[in-house]
Amino acid sequence: MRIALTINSELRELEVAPGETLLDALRGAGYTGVKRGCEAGTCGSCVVLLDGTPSFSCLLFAAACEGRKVTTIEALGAPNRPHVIMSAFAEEAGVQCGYCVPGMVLTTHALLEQNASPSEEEVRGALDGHLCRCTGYVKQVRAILKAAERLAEERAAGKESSR
Amino acid sequence: MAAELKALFRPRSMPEAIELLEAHGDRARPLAGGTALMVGRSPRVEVLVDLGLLGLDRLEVGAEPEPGARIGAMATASSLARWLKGAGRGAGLTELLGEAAESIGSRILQNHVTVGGNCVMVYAWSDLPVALWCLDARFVAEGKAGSRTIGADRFFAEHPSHVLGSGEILTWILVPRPPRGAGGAYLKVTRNATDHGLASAAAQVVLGPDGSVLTARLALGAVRGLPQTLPTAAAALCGQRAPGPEQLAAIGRAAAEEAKVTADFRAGAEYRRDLVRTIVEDALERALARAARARQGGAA
Ligand SMILES: Cc1cc2nc3c(=O)[nH]c(=O)nc-3n(C[C@H](O)[C@H](O)[C@H](O)COP(=O)(O)OP(=O)(O)OC[C@H]3O[C@@H](n4cnc5c(N)ncnc54)[C@H](O)[C@@H]3O)c2cc1C
Ligand code: FES
Ligand code: FES
Repeated sequence: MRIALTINSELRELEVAPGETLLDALRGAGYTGVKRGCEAGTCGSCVVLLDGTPSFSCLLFAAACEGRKVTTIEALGAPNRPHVIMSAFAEEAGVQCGYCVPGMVLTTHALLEQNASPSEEEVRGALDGHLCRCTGYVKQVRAILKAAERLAEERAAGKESSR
Repeated sequence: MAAELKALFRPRSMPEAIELLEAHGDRARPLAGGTALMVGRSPRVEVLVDLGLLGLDRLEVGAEPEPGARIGAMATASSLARWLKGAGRGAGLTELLGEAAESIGSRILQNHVTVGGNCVMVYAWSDLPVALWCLDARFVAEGKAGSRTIGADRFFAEHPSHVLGSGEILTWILVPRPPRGAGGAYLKVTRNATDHGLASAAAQVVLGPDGSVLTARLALGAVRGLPQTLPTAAAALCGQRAPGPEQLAAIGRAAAEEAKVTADFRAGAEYRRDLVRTIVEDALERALARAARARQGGAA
């Protein structure tokens, strides 16, 4: 069946099987930043934003996402033009094998949209759907707090210059 | 599920949805959050009927003569929790229901799981059925024969998926407004932040003007295949005035005695029974403190 949805601000039409997951549909369409892990809603590597909300793409039927807005890691940045959150992850050594990182960065993005200066506890709470087998989380939490600070500085500087 | 599923329909009206379910009989299932359908992958399910476009995700403060909350079956656990902290406060519900919604799996999972799906496909670990049974909610179902309302005692007496007829859709969950002086709490013990529960308890008490317990309700989850209520232990609290630690400990022991408990790989039956004793005690302590505050706040 054919579905239309917005992926990273671009209207796309995809051919999907009725039982196909959004994870498979996205990877099939070239969005390989979406990672396949447990396929059971327990690891967070497949996280995308669905209308801005962190969601496990392995638990979503692609056909039921018709008309929705999907954001994958590709929308946020790339190695040559990293997003502030990505840079913070790299600088704070929150990336080792990197498999968990696209999902975590997207969840972080959604968190910071809602709560510009989260406490460490709030950061840890927001990440509870993500498993990382490498870092032990400490550095990622630090990275997220750093990203929040930087984004706040950028916003403050933006206000200054627009005055 | 990819291979087995032959069609996924997205009806825009209730009659259309019911007709699709009727037409495909036992091969069809309603699709809510999809989390159980996706992970459970049954080869018998060939057709899904998405309930997502039927306006069933609304959350409303009920109007007289049915005050309380009207929860759309398609509302997600996270939207319910958010609503209860904001606009939903007007429904007069205690903290119990929001705490249960926020106990489900991880926060991201709470963006998927619907109140209806959580209640219809009850598992040992399900959180909202425990809270909604404690709150004596009612369940509205619609099918070809029309609409009917099912009380919690009947809805959860056996597996709700058997209580609903095939082709019947759970549409609304009605939670009565607790009377003045009510307080509630939901507690769950897990091995880590996102694992299924080892035991969970919901407690709701109502205090009279003199601080005595007018009514008490207790429900348990995760200690066996289905949730359960503990009417005997709850009744033992009624009439007590400002029950203290000793009285609550006695109710905890009564709850542990009354509870039906089974063992699984997460925990043995004896350990679970001991958990029941402590979490019932703790949930009641919290519920009573909240009820006392509600009483005082109301009187001021
Ligand atoms: C990793 C993981 C961890 C979890 N942890 C918890 C937890 O700690 N606590 C907890 O409570 N839950 C937990 N869950 C969720 C729970 O196991 C179920 O998956 C969930 O409650 C199903 O809800 P849903 O909205 O996704 O329903 P769906 O998967 O869409 O549907 C489930 C079933 O109910 C039927 N159904 C759904 N809605 C209706 C309706 N309105 N009318 C008639 N029939 C309907 C469907 O046809 C289907 O048969 C967890 C799930 C996962 C994947
Ligand atoms: S692959 Fe989706 S949560 Fe693990
Ligand atoms: S960096 Fe390897 S899983 Fe997180």
